[in-house]
Amino acid sequence: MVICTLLLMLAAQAAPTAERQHVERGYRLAQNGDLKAAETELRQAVALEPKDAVALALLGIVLSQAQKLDEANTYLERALQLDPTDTNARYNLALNQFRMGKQEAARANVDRVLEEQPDHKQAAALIDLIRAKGGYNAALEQYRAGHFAESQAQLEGLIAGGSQDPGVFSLLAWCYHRQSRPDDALRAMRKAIELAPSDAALLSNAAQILLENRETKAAYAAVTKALELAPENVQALKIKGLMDLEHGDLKQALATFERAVELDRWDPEALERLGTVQRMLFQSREAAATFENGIARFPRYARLHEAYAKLLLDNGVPAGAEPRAVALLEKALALDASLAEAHYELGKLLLDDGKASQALQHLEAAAKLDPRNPATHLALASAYRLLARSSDQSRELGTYRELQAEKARHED
Amino acid sequence: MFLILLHAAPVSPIRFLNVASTAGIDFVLENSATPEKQVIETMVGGVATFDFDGDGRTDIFFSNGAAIPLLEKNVPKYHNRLFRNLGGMKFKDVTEEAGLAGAGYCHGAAAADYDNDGHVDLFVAGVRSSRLYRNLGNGKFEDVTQKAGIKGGAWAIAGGWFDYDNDGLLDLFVANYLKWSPQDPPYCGDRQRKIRSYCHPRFYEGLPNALYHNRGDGTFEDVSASSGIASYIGKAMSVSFADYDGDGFMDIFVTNDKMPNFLFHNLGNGKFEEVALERGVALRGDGGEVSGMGTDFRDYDNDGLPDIVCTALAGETFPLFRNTPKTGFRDWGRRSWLATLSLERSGWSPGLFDLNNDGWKDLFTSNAHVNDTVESFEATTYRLANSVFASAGDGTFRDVSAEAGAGFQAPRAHRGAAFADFNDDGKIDVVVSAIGERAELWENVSPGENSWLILKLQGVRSNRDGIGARIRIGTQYNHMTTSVGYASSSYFGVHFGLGQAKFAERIEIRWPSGIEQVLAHVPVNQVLRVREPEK
Repeated sequence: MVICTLLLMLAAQAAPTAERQHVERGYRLAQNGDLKAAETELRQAVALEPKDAVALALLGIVLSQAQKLDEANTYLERALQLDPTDTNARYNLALNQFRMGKQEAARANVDRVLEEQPDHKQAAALIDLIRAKGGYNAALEQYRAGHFAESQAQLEGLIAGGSQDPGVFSLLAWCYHRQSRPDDALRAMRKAIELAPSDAALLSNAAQILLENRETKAAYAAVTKALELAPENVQALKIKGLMDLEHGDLKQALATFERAVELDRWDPEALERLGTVQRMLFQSREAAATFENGIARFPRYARLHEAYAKLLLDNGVPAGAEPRAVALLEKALALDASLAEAHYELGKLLLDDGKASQALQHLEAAAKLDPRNPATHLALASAYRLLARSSDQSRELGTYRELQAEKARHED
Repeated sequence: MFLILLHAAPVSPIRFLNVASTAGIDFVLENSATPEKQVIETMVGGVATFDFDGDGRTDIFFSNGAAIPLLEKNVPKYHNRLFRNLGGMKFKDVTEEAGLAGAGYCHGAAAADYDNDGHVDLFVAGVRSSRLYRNLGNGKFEDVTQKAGIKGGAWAIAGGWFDYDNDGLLDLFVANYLKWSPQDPPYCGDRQRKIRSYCHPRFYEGLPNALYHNRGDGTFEDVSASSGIASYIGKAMSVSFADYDGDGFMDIFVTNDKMPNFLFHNLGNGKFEEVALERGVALRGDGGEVSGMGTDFRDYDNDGLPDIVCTALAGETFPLFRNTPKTGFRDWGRRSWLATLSLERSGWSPGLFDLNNDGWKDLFTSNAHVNDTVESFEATTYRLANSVFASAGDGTFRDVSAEAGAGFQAPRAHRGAAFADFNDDGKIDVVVSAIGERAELWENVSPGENSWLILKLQGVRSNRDGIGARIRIGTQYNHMTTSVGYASSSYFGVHFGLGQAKFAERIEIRWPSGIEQVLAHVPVNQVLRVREPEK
C-alpha cells in the first residue's frame, strides 16, 4: 500500500523528534489495523508540527480508512499544499474523493498522478473504478426513471469492460427483474453475492427478488443469511416479515416488523408493513394508530395513506369508513399517481355504485401500472360486463385466468 | 375489533336457548382425530332436518365419522343418528329402528322425496362411499345405493336435490372435494415447533362433481359428463340451488375450497355452462380466493333475485354476492357490513332465514376454524361461538350474537347446521353439530309478536317437494330448497316472517312446472299446506 512509500520517506529523514516518534508509532499502528490509536498518534504529531506534509498525509490516509472522509480530505489537501509533487498523497486524495462521490475531482487528481508517474498501478486501477462508477451512476439514474432496458445496457457495458463491482451486478439484477427476466435477474444477483459474500444488503436484495419471483425457499435462505450477517439490518427484517406472511405466520410477521420499526422508526415502509400486519391480525386500533403516526411523520409517503384506506375499507363499518377511505386514496394518488392499488380500490368502489365508466378509468390505470395483478383484470371484466362490452370482458377474464394459472404453477 | 362503531339501527331482538340436553339430543360428532392430521377429520358434521315419519314434526339426522384408517363405523360412537321429534321440543333416538346407523366415514346429508311417494328420503355423502336411503314409509329406510346407480369412489362432502329439467323428478348433485388417501399424508405445520396441522387444500388434487338424472323408476343416470358438470375440477364443499336469472330452470352454486366457486348456469337442455367468473361469484370482490365452506342461495334483500352467501375462514370474510337487476352479482360484503362483521370469524354452515319474523332474512352461521392448531399461527382460535347477523332492513347486517342469549357465546368446534321450526311456533330453530361435543339445539326464543307463515308444498306436475318453487308474499321472495349450509339440508317448508301483518293478502307461487298459483287473504301464523293445481 501507499503507506509503505511514506515509511521510506520517514526513514530517510533525520533523527527522531517527539513529533517524528508520534508519526512512526501512528504509521505502525495503522499498519496493524488499529486506526483509532493511529489517529491519536498522528493528531499529536500534527499538533506538534502542523507543517509536516508526511504527518498530514498519513493522518489523511488513516482518517479516510476510518470513513471520516471530510476530515481526511482536509488533511490530504493541506499535505499537497505543502508538497504538490507528492503523488502518493494526491493518489490518496483522489481515492478519498472517489469514496465521497466527488468523481470529477477524483478524476482530475488521478489524471495528474498518472501524468507524473504513468506506472502508478493503484492510480490506473482507480481510474477504471471512476469510469465504472460514472457508468453506474448513469445506469442508476436510468433505472430510477424506469428505463430498465437502457440501464441494463449501460451495466452490461461496464461488465464487458471488466467491472467486478458487486453493486453493478446487483443493479443489473434489478433491471432484469423489472423486465420480468427472473432467471437473468437471479444469475446477476448470484454473481453480486459471489463478489461480496458478506454483504447483507446484497443478500436482502436477492431475497426480495426471489420472493417476488415466488422462489420462497431460496428467498428464505438468503434473508436468513443476511440476518445472520447483520441481525439489525432493517431491509432484511422487512423482507423477513414478508416471508413470515408468505408462510402464514402472522404473529411472527408482527414481531419482525415491530423489530424493524424499533430499529429504525424513520422507515415509513416498515411502519406501513407493521400497520398492515396489525390489520391482518385484527388489531384494527393498533393498525390505525400505526398509520396515523406514520402519516403524521411522513405525510408525503403515499403508501401509508393507501394502506390506511384499506384498513378502513376492510375493518371499518362502511357508513363511516368509506368516505374517509376515499379521501385517503385520493390523497395517496395525489402524492403518487403510480399506486396501482389505490386506483384499483377507487375503481371498485365506483363499480359498487354502478358507475362503470368512471370505475373503468381507475381500473385501466391500475392495470397499466400493475398488469400482473389478476384482481384488477377481474374488476375490469366486471366493469366491461356492466357496460355490455362483452369482448373486452372476455379478454380481461382471459388475462385473469392466465395470471391465475401462472400463480398456481408457482405455488405447485 | 371494528374500527368505527356507529349507532346500530334497531333490529327486532333475536334470542336462542340451547335445549339439546332437555330435548334428548345427545349426539356427539366423532371425527377419529389422528396425529397425522388426516384432512377428512376436520370436514365432518353434516346435519339434515326433515320429517321422516310424516307426522308433521321435523326430525333431525346427524352424519358421523368412522375409524381411521379403516373408514368403518366399528363402534357405536361412529353411528349416524336419527332423532324423531316427539313434539314439545323432545326427541328420541330412532337410529336403529330406522336403519340409518350407516357405514363408512360420512360427511354430508341431503333430504328430499326423490321418488315422489310422500316419504322423505336421504342421501348421505362420504369418503369413497356415499349412500342413498329410501324411506319406506314405515319408519324404516332401505339402502338403495347400488340399485339406484349411485356411484362411490370419490370423497363426497355434500349432496343436493333439485329438478334440473323440470320433469317432476328430483335429480341429485354430489359435491366432491379432494383426492384423498390415508397413506402418507403430507406434513403441514411447523416441524421445529412440532406443531402438525391439517394441510391446505393445495396439497391435494381436486375432483369433478357429479350429477345424477332421476329416471323415475328408482334409478339414476350419471349425467355428469353429458351435462358438462364433470368438465370442471373443483374442491367442492357445498352446493345450493336457485334460478338466478329467472329463466325457469334451477342453477347450481358450488363453494370450492381455496379456488374459485362454480356457478353452473342451467341451459334448460340438460346441459350447464360454468359462469361464476363471468357472473362475478367465483371470487371475493377483490379477486381473493376464499376457503368456501357452506352456502345459501336465496333473496336476502327482497328484490326478487336470489343472492348468494358463503362462509369462509378468519381474515377472508364471508362473501355475499348480491344479485340486482342493474348490476347482476356484485360482492356486497363491504356494503352489507358482513365483510367487517365476519372478518374475525371462521364459518361453516350459513342459513338466510328471518329469525325474528320482521320480514327480512337474517344470517346464522355455525363457526369454528378448520385447523385445530391455528392459535399457533394466527390471531384467531379454533373453537368459536356461532354468529347471528340481523338484517337492518336496508341491505346491511348487524352482529347481534352477543345478545343472542345465555350460552350462545360458547366456543366449540362447530360444523354443520340445519334449520327448521321444531316446535311449531313459527320461529326458526337451529341444530348445530360440534366435534367432540354434544350437538346444540338452539330453540328460537326471540321475544315479540311478529307473525309468520310456513308453506309446505306438494307438487303434482312438479316434483312432490316443490323444490324450485318461487314464492312471493307482498315484497318478500323465497323459494323451496333443502340445500342450505355446510354439507347440510333443511327441509321443513318455506318460511316467511310477516311483521305485524294479520293476513298475507296475496301469495304467488310459481311452480317448477311453470304453473302459477295465487292465494289471497291467508291468515298468518300457520303452517300452510299448498298443493300444486293441475294446471
